[in-house]
Amino acid sequence: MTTENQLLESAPEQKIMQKAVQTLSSKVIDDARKACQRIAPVWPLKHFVAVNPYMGLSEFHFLQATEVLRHVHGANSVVDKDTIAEGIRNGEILDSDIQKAIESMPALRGIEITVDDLIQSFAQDGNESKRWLNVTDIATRFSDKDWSRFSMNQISKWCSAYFDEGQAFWSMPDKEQGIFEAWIKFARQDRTADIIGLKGFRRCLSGISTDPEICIEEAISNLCIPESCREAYFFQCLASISGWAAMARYHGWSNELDGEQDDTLLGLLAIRIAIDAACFLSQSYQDGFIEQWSDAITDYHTHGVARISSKVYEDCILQTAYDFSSQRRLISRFNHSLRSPESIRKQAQAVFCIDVRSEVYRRALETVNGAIETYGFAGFFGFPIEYVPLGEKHGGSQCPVLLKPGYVIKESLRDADEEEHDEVIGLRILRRRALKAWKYFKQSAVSSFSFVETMGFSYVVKLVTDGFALTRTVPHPKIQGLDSDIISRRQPEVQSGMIGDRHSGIELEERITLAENALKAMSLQAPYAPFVLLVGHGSTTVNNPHASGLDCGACGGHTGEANARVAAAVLNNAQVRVGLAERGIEIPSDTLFLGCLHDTTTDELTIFDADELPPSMSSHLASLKKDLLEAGKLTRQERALRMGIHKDNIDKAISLKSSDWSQVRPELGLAGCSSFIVAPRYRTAGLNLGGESFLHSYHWQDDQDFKILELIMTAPMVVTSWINLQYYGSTVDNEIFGSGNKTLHNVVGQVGVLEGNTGDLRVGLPKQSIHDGENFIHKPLRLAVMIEAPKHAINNIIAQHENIRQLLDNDWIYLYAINEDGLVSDRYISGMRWEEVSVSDASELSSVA
Amino acid sequence: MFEIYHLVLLIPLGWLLISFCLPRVKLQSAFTVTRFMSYLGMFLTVLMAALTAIEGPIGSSLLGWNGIGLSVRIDALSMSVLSLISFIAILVLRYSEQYLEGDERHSEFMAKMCLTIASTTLLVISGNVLQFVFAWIATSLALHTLLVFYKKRHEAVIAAKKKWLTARLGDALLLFAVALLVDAFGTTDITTMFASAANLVEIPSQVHMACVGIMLAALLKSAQFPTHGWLLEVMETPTPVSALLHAGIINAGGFLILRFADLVVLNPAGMHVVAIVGGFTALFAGFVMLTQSAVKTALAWSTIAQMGFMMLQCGLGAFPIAVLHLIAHSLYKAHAFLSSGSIIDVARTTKVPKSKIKSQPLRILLSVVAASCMYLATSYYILQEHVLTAVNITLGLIFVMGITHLVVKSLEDNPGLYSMMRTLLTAFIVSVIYNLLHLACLFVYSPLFPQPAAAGLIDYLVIALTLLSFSVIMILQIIVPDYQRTTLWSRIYVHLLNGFYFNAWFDRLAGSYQVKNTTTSQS
Repeated sequence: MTTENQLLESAPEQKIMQKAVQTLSSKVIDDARKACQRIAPVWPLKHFVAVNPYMGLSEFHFLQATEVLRHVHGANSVVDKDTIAEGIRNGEILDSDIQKAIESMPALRGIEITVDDLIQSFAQDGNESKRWLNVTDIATRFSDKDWSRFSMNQISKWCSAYFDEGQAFWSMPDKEQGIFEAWIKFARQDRTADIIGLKGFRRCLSGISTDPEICIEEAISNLCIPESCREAYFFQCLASISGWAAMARYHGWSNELDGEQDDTLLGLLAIRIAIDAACFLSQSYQDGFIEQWSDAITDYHTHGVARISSKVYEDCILQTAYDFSSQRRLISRFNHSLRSPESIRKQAQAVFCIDVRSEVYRRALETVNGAIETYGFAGFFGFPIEYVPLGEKHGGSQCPVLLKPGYVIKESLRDADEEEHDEVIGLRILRRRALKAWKYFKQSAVSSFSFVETMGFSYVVKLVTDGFALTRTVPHPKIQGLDSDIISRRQPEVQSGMIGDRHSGIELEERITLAENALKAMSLQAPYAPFVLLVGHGSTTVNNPHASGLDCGACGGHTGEANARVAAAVLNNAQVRVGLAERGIEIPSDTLFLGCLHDTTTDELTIFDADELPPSMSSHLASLKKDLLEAGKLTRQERALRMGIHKDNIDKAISLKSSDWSQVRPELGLAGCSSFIVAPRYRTAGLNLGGESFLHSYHWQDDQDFKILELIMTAPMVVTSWINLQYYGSTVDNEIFGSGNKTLHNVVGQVGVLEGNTGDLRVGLPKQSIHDGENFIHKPLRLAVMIEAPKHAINNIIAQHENIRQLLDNDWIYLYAINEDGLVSDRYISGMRWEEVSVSDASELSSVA
Repeated sequence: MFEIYHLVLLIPLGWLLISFCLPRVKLQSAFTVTRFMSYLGMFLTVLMAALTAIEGPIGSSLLGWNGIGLSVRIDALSMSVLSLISFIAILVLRYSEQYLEGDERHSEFMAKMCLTIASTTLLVISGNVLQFVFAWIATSLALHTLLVFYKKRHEAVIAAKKKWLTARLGDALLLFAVALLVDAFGTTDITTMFASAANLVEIPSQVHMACVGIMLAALLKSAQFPTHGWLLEVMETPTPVSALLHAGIINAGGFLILRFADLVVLNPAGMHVVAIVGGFTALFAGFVMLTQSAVKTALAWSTIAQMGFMMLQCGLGAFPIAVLHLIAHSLYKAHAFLSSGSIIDVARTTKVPKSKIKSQPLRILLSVVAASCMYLATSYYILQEHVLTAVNITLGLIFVMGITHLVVKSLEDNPGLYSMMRTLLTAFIVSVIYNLLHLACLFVYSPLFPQPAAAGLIDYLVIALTLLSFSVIMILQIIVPDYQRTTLWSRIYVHLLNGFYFNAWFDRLAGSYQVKNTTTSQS
């Protein structure tokens, strides 16, 4: 009886205790997860898309984020002083810009600044930023060994193997056990620490739990980190291995899109913390260690998010002034004279991707032939597909990374029966197998010697042909393993079918819906021209690990070819047209949609699937092709200026860049991107925007319920801000948000690059992409979005979407409204409030200009 | 006394001159000058190679005094390696024109490249030992300036430091060896030295010691176990430097042994050591390489392995084949480094469904039989009597293992008749090329090198050891994927990924993780 009673009595107590422990621990893990959300993902090189490196910080104001990043990374987040100084000197940045910037900043207690103060204090160098320290940093002070570098190199070595997608012939065992478990098993075996003289490290690791959550909790209590500092400490730990952390975050990305939780990054955090904990255990006996560590913790405390130093405040004002000065010049260029064109039928309508590189080409095309109308729309044309190449079972997601592909489209052959298909696919797989076997022969332990002695001399030829850009280092993956007559017959298959055990193709009803949505969203104006070009884009480079970064971001780091061709095929389909007519969209029977690809490296434009046209159309097509060639030439001439090509034969110089294996700047990419204009094309037609603007066509008058505006603001606007902030981050602090010097890049695990032989995985863009050796080819300006739509409609959308509100209210992007006269009339301040863009702004400009 | 052969000295002198001029001229003119020089260098090389093809090996007179000065040795070996370096120079300099575009020290980089090329070319045409040592040290110092081209990079400085330590040890050994040689033979001239070495009745102890010095210096220079650590980290500098290093400078070790082959053979024990160290390095590095996931790091391991194999060939006395290996490897590796950015494309083009089939002993056995048949048939017809030396049989068997691997991998996924035939055809063609190249090498280089003495017991033991270890590694390589899930393998993997920690020891010795104390620790 008594025992039972005791049990009964004690049970609730135990439960309470357990619950208390659980809540405490889950709170720790909650903080850890929160810190994990601060890390922006990085996409693997095979589809390297732009990511906003400040993504996890957008809930903070730009000011606060700048402050935090200074502590976490020691990062700089604003434009360098030389640029500002020069801007002030040559009159680009006016006192009024600085004044406006001061006014636009959130007020800070105790800090009052005037323009003169700012220019005065600007000359002096601010105090160096003080990075938060973790345990290994302290240990480095106390021993004669560099614990921080050791921990970085150990983690990087291990992650290189763990995240490897097939570079090493022998992959890491035990991967499937979970990242932390796999690591601790590895680390307990690894003798490196013992050998280089970090005594006791491995012994201390053996005391650490194999469960990541328990490991984190224990470490937090052992390291005496108070609750208020926890998140900051976690963030600092992740920041110290930010590249691999970004890769881990990417692994969780697709799961997160499905709404599932992914603990890869949490596991990596546990690894970093385990090293800190083991380091603490083995070093903290030293006199003064604990004191220094608690000082470090105090730093976490006092330099929290709340307090913003005057240096950061000033820096951010100057950055804002720099942004304003550029926006002022852009705003002044909009004018009344541009009126809506008459709605007569054009010779052709061409829809391009919103990409800044399209702007130059569109302008050139309009110059060449005024009867061609151009549009801007996200380059996947509203068709989110997974495109499966011949001979493969899975393909890349060809849609913005914010979406998941809705349809599987397989590559097929024009005019081929099933038998031929199977034959081609079989042959391709066979060739790949042979190639793979050959790769083994080339690189395995014993056979590599035989390989070298037999095949070594053949590299004389290969070195010459590759060196003189006559051949590609390796065949292009798209066409490898296919015969030349097959290559030109490849096309996306829209009809329903099977690929492996999955359905491919798009059902008729869905095709009609997709077509309807696409046509509406791209604001294509009736009457439709005989030719409607849907122009995706892609790049052509050789020997460039970051090649996919130059392809279409809206197509998830692939070329837009497949999307454009699918869209054109759907829109040309007779049944779809009938369906569209039923929904009120009449497409003239003589209108033909053409899938095209704009090669952004060479500015050549290829038209697909237009071989069998009626003779009446083919002559028109020929003249259109001539215009496109001419436009390409014009575009190259303009780009040559920006790229510093002074040769006589610009076309040849540019085309060489696309085939040269030693080329580190094959094209400018999206460098220079600084504004996003959402308006009908006639608002900007004739304005030379210098390849610095994303252009989205939009007629708000046609947009019932502002559904399309909502789409634009939640998808393309976010994506353009990602691209803009990627370039921004890579420019203001290339060490932390960029990938350093391209000539040192060492591709690791087929996913990313190291700079040199070790160190963290590098994220972002290489220096070569943002700097030409003399000048920055990208100016670090935050994106200015300009939308022609009623302010109340814009406000409504901002109110509905928290993430948009954060981007705007926290000054990550700027927003302007364009009025019915085609002038930029209002600037969004924050909290749904707007201020008028004063007339004086424009007049100041004219005095400068 | 000036002779026509001295013209070849224009190559190093030209590069040297250019390296001093480059920083003072405009970048575009710098490119013009380096292009001109690289083609001129190639032209002179071909001219001299033609000369030696007609006249046989030539040792020029000395331009200098008392054994000190410049002289050239022109023979199939020096001209082959000189052609290699001139060819690589054309490519890496051309590559650097675009690759470093925009670097504020672009012309300085080109100048340093030229300086390194100058000293390397001077090395390979050396006609006397003092010049050889001078060029040897100069090459290493010139390379050092390239390795720390980005001085602010901590990792670059550390890697260069390790390289520096190894190189100075090698320099000391070589200086020591050369001093002994000059003392023993009373001349600095290489050709004279070899002639008197051939007539030695009894080998003086200085010569033995010198051989040991030469061999150790060669092992250090070509990153042989356990001093390979320095090569693993020196990719902290632009890719063309890596290409030049891995395709040119790393060969200095092998070249040293080949150049002094006439002397080195006088010390058979040393040869055995070179063979064993080389063979071990070849397998060790080749094995570790399989776990490396960073492309340039894997290539560095591969170079170490290839150098090891070349050392093995040297140690076994197969000098002509070692020359073949040296040159062929350089060409391959130059391309591998320069095209290392294409790895993503390579990955995408070899994407095939993974095979789930376990390796079957029968299949391996069949592959061995097929590979052996291919090799035997072709070598019997092509090499004929040459095949019948112990060393050639050994190398042939290692080749068979390589082909076996190719066949096994090709037949992994239950292939059809077509791909089986295709694989066999590939194996056949590879065998034919292998044997033809061997025949050519024997024809061209054999007259240059001392004929190997009849194999003794120890030679056979070394050969047996080599064959045994190579076959074990080959079999392991095929079966390891089947045992990936065992605890034993996960343990071995840890050590393998770390290259069995030899680099960590090196780090410790070199103080790579050492920091100056900022806080006075009271412990």
